[in-house]
Amino acid sequence: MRAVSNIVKGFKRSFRFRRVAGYIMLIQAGLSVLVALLSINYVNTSIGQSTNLMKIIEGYNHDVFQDLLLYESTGWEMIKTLIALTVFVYLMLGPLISGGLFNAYHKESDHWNVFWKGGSRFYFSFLKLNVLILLILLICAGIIGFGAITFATHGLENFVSEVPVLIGVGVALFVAILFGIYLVSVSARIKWQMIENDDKRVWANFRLGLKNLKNKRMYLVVLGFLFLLLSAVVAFFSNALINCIPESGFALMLLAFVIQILVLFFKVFLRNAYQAAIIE
Amino acid sequence: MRALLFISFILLGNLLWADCDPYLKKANSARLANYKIDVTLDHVTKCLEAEQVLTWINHSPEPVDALRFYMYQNAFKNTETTFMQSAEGDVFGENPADRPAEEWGWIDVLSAIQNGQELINDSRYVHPDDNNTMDETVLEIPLASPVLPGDTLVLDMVWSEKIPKIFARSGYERENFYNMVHWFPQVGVWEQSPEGTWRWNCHQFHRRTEFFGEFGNYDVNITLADFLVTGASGCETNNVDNGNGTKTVSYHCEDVIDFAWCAYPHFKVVEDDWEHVHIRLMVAPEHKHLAPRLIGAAKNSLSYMAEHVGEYPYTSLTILDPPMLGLKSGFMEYPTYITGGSFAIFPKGVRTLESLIAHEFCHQYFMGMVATNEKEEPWMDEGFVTYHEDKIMEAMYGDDGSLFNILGYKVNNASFSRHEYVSLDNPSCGAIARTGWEINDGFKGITYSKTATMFKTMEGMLGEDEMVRLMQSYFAKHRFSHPRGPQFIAHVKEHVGQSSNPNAMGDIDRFFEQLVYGVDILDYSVTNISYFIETSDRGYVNNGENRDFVEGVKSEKIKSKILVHRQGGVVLPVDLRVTYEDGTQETVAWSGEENTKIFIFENDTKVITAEIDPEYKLYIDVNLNNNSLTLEPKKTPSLKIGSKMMYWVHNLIQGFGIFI
Ligand SMILES: [Zn+2]
Repeated sequence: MRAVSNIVKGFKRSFRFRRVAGYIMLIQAGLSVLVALLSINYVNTSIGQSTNLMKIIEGYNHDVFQDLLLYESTGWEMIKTLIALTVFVYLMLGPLISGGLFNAYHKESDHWNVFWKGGSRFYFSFLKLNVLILLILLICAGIIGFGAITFATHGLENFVSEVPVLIGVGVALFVAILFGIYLVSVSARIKWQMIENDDKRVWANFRLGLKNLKNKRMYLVVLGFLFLLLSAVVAFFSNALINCIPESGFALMLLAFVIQILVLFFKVFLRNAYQAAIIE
Repeated sequence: MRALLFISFILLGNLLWADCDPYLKKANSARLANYKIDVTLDHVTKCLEAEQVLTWINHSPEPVDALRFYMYQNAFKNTETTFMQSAEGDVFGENPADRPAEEWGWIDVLSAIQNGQELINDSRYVHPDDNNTMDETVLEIPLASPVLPGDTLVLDMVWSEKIPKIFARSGYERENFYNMVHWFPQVGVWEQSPEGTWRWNCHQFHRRTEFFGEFGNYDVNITLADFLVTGASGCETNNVDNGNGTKTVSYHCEDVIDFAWCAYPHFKVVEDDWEHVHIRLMVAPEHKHLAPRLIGAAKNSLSYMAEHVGEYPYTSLTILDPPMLGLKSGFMEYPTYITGGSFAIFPKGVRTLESLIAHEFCHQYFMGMVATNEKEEPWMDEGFVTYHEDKIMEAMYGDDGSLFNILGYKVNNASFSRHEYVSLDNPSCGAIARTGWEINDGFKGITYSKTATMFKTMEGMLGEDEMVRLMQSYFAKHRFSHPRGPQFIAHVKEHVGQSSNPNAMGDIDRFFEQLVYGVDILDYSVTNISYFIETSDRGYVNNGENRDFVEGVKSEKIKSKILVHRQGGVVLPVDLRVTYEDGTQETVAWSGEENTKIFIFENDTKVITAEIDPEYKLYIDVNLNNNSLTLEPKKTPSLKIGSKMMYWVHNLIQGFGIFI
């Protein structure tokens, strides 16, 4: 019940700070639009004058895409590299975004200066914390993954049916997700704690944070799980909505694009609401 | 009471014989090689002991003084067999050399008696393909007295076998799973060579190809532990409890080139009927929920092939869907018995499950009834089958994602086949017409997929209806015989020659010469579009000692120049269609002979689009994107791609963003 009421509070706070959501959206869009521009250029310069290209207006076409990737692979390799780079840059901008967001929540102001100051002041501390959390996540995911693979290999060689293997792997995946959720919550709580106390020390805050969260583990996991469900529902319905637009002409394509932007914007709100609910 | 017993007996008999009485309405083949086999399976030692009576008819005008037998379980005897050598250390991702002693297998003929005379002492293993003396997959048994033309030989044989743990398809797995294929001494094919001499066609077992058998009837009695559930080619005629922990299950099959069976204690048997065909699905319990999909695919395949190729005369079809532990037995075809491959979780939009059943079922026609030599001409079954598999799937699920239709990812079977071919590292790595033992690269991509795409191209050129008629007439002519590639080509020439459009495929000999026997690719492209307005009689003309400038006449027509290229070695006749600015279209034919050709079109408006093969008839073209060109690039599709890429990358970084 506490989780649900905090989710509601989280959403309220997230909407109150909609300008912050706007900043985050702009950063994300600024990165993803580069991939879009490269993709447009790639298609135009390779098969832009092929009538075959019109087939993709109706959706994925295996012949068009496979022939494109087969004979024009260089451009596609560039796009893949840019996507990897985009993810990396975004991860590097992450501390700036969370610092800005929490500072805005703390100072009760969604002004750009507040966002920027919070992000820049705590950038390196948050970056270090992110690396630490990521390391823990990787180690634990590695242990869980190793266990799952060992179980699966043993199971496939010894069990009559693959069903227990599937269940085992499913359980491992579930545990890994729950653990990931917990770590995400821990990371947010510690960042909030650092901003509230204006304390940049990473290790000390990490230990203190873990100590303070001892009694909240279950709550944080439930909260994260509820948000995960909510995200899945949003993803399902938004994709269904976008897919039902035929996109056969420019106007419909524009409509789909606008809906896509709105969906993405809503997802920023959702993420901000989650962060807000964690620190409630 | 006695009357009741009698009625019960009749009823029970009818139940068992429901699909056996009669198995076939009439004899379809000459039934030259007939078997009666009494076999006992010892599930503890993994051994078979059998008595076998072969009744063989010499249909040739020459006396036959020796018989040759496939002894294919000997392929799994050691690392030196031709099978293992050609596998080059990799059978289904496993190095056979790592196997412990108890997992290898072999087969020995202990006795072969003709008219009371023991022949086995004079028998010897022969190696017609590679002189590998370690290979014992072909046994020659000299006869005491030759079988004269038209005469029948009765050979009483005793043999024993150590069943291997499955390397590929045949053998046992843990939990007493058995898939018994190529499991008995099977006589080869006594045939007339293309040069006219009579000979045994009985190749050794190579890694990739395995079928070439003579038609006949089978009566097989299998004695095994009573806890094992069995399935087999043909129909079950009897099932007797021997009272000693064993039972004897009897099967009968007619007009087939092989016989296979399986056993497993945990099988669930799901039964269904399609017209005259009784379908038995032997399925692992954890896959039972997939039964409607598996049986549905079988029924659709039966229905499509009956309508588009010819009658399936048999009254039974057994489908083995192995448990995971026996997956190496899957993906295969035997007469009236096919093996699939599934997994407990199988999303509905992933239809490889159905496609596999369609594929293996089509083998009932191509190599089952049209009994081509898979060892010498694997394309004659795998290619025909893949083409029909693709057709069945598209008939079942439409041509918008027949194979995959999941999360917006839609792939048709024919498109998938085409890409297995064109995406090969080297699509010219070998010809379609290769023997099984010549294939070292591109087995799937060439033998299956290029052939299927070639048939799709034939369909494009002939029209779908004519292609159906062609396959129907080929099947009707060659069912229950052993045609070869040249006979198929001759049939195509005859059929197309008599059709309403005899020139639809151009030079048919050249078509097959290039695509079946050659390795070149087909790739047409439109390389440039330009236009100009012609002005004539402009310039200086002599006027006595002077030169006068004449303004000339500007044409009211626009001349459009289309540059086309043939980038591959294959030449097929093709259409070039241009679209003018006013929307009108014009189509011209091109032989495709020239490497480069310029087409000039004169019209009131300019050409804005040029398309080679606008109806995608030549599906075997390795790059379809370069077949057309527009004067101006189209913006909408690339914008759409850009918008989607932005959306997905944005989603991706948002996903990662949760951790920061
Ligand atoms: Zn096949």
